Amino acid sequence: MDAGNTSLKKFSRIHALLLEGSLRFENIPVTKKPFPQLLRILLTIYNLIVARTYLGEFEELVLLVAGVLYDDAYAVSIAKEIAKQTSRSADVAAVHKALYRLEDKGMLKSKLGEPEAKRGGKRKRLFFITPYGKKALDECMEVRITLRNQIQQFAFKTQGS
Amino acid sequence: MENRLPKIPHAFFKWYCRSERYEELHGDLEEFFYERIEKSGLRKAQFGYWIDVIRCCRPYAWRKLSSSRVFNNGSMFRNYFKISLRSLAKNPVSSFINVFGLAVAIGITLLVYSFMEYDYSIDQFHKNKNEVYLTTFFADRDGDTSQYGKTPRPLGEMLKADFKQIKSVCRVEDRRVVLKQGDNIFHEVVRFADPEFLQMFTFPLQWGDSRSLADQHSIILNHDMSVKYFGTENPVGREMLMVLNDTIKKVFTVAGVAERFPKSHDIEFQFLVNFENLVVTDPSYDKADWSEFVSATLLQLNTPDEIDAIRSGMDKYRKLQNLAAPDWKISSFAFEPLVTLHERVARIKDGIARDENVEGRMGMPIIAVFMIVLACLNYMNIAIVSAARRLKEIGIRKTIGANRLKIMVQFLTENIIVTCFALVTGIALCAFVFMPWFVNFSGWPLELKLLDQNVWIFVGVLVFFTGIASGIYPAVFISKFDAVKIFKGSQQFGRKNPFTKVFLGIQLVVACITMTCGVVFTQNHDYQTNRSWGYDEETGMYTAVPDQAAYEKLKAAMLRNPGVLSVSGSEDHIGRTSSRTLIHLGADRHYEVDQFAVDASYFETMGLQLSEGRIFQPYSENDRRAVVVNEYLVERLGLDHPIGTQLELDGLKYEIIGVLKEFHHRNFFQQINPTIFKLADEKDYRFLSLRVEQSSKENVHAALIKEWTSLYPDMPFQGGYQEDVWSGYFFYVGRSQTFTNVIACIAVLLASLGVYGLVALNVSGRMKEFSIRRTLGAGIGHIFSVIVRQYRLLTVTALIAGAPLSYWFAEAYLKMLFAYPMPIDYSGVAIAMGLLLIVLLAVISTQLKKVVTTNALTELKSE
Repeated sequence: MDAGNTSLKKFSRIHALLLEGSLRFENIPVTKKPFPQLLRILLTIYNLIVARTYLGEFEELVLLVAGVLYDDAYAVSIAKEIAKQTSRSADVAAVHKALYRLEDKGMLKSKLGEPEAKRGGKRKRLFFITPYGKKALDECMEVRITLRNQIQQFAFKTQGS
Repeated sequence: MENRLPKIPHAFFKWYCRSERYEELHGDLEEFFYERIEKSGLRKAQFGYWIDVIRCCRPYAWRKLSSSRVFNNGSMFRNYFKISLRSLAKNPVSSFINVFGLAVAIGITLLVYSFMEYDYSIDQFHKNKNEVYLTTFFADRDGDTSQYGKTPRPLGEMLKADFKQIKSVCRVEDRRVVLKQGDNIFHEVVRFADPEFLQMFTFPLQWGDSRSLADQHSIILNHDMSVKYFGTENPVGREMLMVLNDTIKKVFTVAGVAERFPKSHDIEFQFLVNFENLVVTDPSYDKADWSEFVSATLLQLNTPDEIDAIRSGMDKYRKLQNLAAPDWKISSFAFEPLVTLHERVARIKDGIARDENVEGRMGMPIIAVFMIVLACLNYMNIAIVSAARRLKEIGIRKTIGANRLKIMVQFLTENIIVTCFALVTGIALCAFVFMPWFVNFSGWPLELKLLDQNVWIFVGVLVFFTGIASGIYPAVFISKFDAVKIFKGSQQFGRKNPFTKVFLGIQLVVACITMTCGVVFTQNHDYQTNRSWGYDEETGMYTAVPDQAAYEKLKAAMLRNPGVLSVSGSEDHIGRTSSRTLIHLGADRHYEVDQFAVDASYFETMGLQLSEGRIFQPYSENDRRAVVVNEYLVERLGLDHPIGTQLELDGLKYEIIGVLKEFHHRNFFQQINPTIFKLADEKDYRFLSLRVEQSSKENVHAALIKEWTSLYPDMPFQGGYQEDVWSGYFFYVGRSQTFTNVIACIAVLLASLGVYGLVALNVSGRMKEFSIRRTLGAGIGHIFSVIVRQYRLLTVTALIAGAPLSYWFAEAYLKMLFAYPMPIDYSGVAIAMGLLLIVLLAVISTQLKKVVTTNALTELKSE
């Protein structure tokens, strides 16, 4: 686990991401100013490599639910779904925050929906999971499952006795 | 439906929420709100809405205050930057004037900053600077109260015994001795100090141990002296011989070498030996004598505030001293902390510290302010006038929505850009031109510490204030223009602006003041150089001799030289040493006077002139009770018939037999003191003075040195031409003169650049008018008078206002520096004004030439 090895891993991760197409530069908002553009690209790369490791527990939950709700994933529905499925009350501000963060990280993308009367004639922002989001989820799951499977059976027994 | 929403949280939400997310976010909140109404009623829903609004008040929802603005402003400022560069490039002459003028001003200011920084950091590197105090006292002499840096000899030891707050006491005394090491023999000043000296003044040592000063056979050298005697090798353990005369010698072992002192130091030493060694040099030195003084007594306290306790307990020592020396009564004691000692040292007589920076400290900040003012005024004038060319741009900016503030910000931005250019140039100017020049001619070891963060803070503040100060008026003035009026062409602009004239006027006044100072200092330099010394210094020569035997041998040898007119011996010598003594007139009047003990021919040899009475007769025993005095003493004592007056000196009666005309035995910075001459005992002769033929001066000087080296190969020669005794003094006078002249030149340059820029802009704006005049038959004279008419009144007013100011300023400056300043007259001011007028006319005539050489028809045809 020396430093050289880690940076090699990081580099190969960028490479892999580029190959599978989840790091796509057209996803990055385009401006004609070269300097802010460069900054954004750097920021995105940074988010992909460093910030992705900070996919928090609640963020993971929101990401999952957004995937589950597919066509109708927006803040209110996600909050309700979380409340229903996990029986924990999710306040709307926390969901907002997680959604925007995930969008910044490139794991979700969004578009505006149609105006609705129940919302006072306002449009809602619908979120969709990206390939990169899927990959992040899969990696997360994989890590958990691998770890879970590594736990020896007797570990639970010693715990119980 | 929507009106059921509580208004206050809704308004709050609207206020903090960024507009592009308002719809989606508030939609979510409303959805919850309406659902809650159905589920649990209006009141609970409203309460929930309140909570949600507060919960949502988080960064993701906030208006991007800073970042959104920075983004817009980024392009705005980029545009300003571009426009600034373009407008700079469009008028290269006025841009050059602006940038160069400001650069010179900033360069000078940085120089001044370095100087002040140097001056205020003097002696601040000692670790115990807050706890160390110099003991001083106040005493009345001839009606004036003065502060003295010396102390009665036993005071230090008694203080140490009496006050437990005192951690240590250090007495310091300097003596001139001869030091010998191998073939190196020099006269040196050795500092005799108590071992605590190096604990109080924490000079780091390069080699050796600072505690070794406690050993009476140790000597500690400074870096330069170590190099002088031993080269670069480590001299610790080597021996040095202190020679006092043929019989008294003492061997010291080098025990330490100080590192090179920091540049900003005042108190220093060359050689340091234990205080007890004073008895070796002077067997009669009585440490317990209250009527005698030691050069300095320093105290180190445990904490600085304990000084009050000591101060209040000093009265008993004053009584002791007054009892022992009724003629030399001390009126009170005072303590000067080391931290502030250097600032106050100019007021303390006979101290161990000295102050050579007074003139700089007083003059330099004024100069810096002058320079900045000149450069800022240049900028303002040129900016106002050149705004004329940018009226359209300002009009368009205003039409498409720039408000007045935006225009002001634009102009200030431009200004800061110009100032930044000037800053870079100024730093370069300071580092590569001003600083080397200044260090070279002044001898002050300054440096521009570009790595010091304080310099950058100073530079930042300087740029900001210069930028704002020079730009605020043009910005306010230009942004006031009305867009509609601009496009109609009815906007009046700065050509007739009264402020422009006022600024130009101030510039002229400042230039006038600096120029007068330059002229007056040049005159003063001549005056001081040619000022009569009161005796014949040109044909005089002298040398110090160790004793009477040496004097006799040397005298015999020199008298054989045909170029020597006369030879005299003396104990003291004009321009080198004199002693202080008290004379009594009657029972209660006593005065402190300078005393010279000389032989009968001394007056003739030195060319001192008698105003009345007679001088000593050779070999006259009667004249051993006679004195010759100077005119100033007669004046101070208020004697109507000085000849025959009896004075009491050391308990003996003396009679005044002659009065000498005024002469300076110290340099012109210092006032003439009351002075007496008495006959010296032959065995006390320490100086041999010669009067020589003007033509054979060099020969005699060479012969004198040759005689000396053949007589005393072991002793360095200490003498020279009489006219060289004040070389240090003339160095200072020359230094002020050079500096003032350079500053005056720069000031005039800046002012003329300003005038040039202004005239050039004005003339180019009136090119059409001049062309029409010329086609109608106007000659050069007419055009000239048209151009001049605009500035005539202004120049005359400025000069009339500037003349008395300059006069007053130059006079005050001279008086501050010299005890005998040149009697200032109006010639200096007149010369300065004349020069200034010539420069102005030269500037105007360059423009006149431009007008005359352009073809009037081409000018009229254009556009």
